[in-house]
Amino acid sequence: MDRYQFEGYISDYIENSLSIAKRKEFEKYLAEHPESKEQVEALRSTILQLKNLSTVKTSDEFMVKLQQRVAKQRYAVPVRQENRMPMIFGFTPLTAGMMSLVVLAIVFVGYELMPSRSSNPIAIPPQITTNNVMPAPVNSAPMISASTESAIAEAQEDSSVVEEDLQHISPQLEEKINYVKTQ
Amino acid sequence: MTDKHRYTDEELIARFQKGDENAYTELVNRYRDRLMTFVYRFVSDMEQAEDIVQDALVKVYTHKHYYKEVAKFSTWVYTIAGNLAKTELRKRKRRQTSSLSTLGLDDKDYELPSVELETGEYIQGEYTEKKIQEAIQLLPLHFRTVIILRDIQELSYEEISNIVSVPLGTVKSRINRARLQLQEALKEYK
Repeated sequence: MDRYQFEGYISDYIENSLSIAKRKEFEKYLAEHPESKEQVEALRSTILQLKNLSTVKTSDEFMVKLQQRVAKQRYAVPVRQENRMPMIFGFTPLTAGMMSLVVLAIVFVGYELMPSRSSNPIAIPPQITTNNVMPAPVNSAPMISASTESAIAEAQEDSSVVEEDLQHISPQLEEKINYVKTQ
Repeated sequence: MTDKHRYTDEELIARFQKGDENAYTELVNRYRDRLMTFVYRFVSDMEQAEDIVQDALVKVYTHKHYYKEVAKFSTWVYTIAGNLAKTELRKRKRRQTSSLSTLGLDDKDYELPSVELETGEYIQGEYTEKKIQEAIQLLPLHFRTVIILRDIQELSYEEISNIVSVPLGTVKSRINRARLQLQEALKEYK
């Protein structure tokens, strides 16, 4: 038996509800550990103190107050039963009616706010037509600047160099492919 | 058998269910102080304890037909009182939390219940009783319930198991652990 088991059996030992085998084991532990014997005695004393606590009594007005409350209940209960309304899904008719109105109002407003469906969903709105597009001004400044033009020219030169390289490379590649095929 | 206990609790509640109001009065007289002791040890406030006992006995009156003879009357009435006491403690805890939170960090003028020794204030018996009562309040609710029912009310393990609706083995284990915790708390007072 270890300390944990000892503490688990301590109440059963005090109340004499341990089996003979367990009791012997418990007492062996007590003999080996004198401090646990003190703990058993202390617990026995605590239980005794709890049993000897004084009874707490109700006040002298207890019965009078209770009779008043009982009398109130006696008359309150039948009145409540007589006035009980029929319920609709746990709600009073008034609450149920108001809730239905709110739901209907939400559905109606939601339906009104929904956009109407047309036959062509991607039709051009009437205000944007080819007739009312503004023409570009005649004397407007050039759209491409000089620096952009030079950049375009450089890019075109680069692409021609790349094309030339490819032309050199492609005969060599063809030769290799043919060699692999023959192998 | 004396005239006072001519009827068992179960016979009295059966008579009350059939409309005999005197049977209810007899049950109230049998249980008022027992319930008061149980609830007071639980909530540690005389006024609140009396209100809870009244609530429990009014419930017995209004819900008399809810009692079925499969259980003992005492089990039923202790269950009602215990549930009401737990509800009251939860309300009290919420009130304490909200009142502390509204004070803020800078407000220092509130006091929590003291568990300090007050030497010379009480004679030995009262002093010990006060300290035991304080130590019981330190126990968690599920330990507090079972130790009061077992060691103060002296109910059987089976009846406690029915009142708190937990298996017998759990009740025994809770009582054992509650006693050890209580002993530990009382050791600090000695």
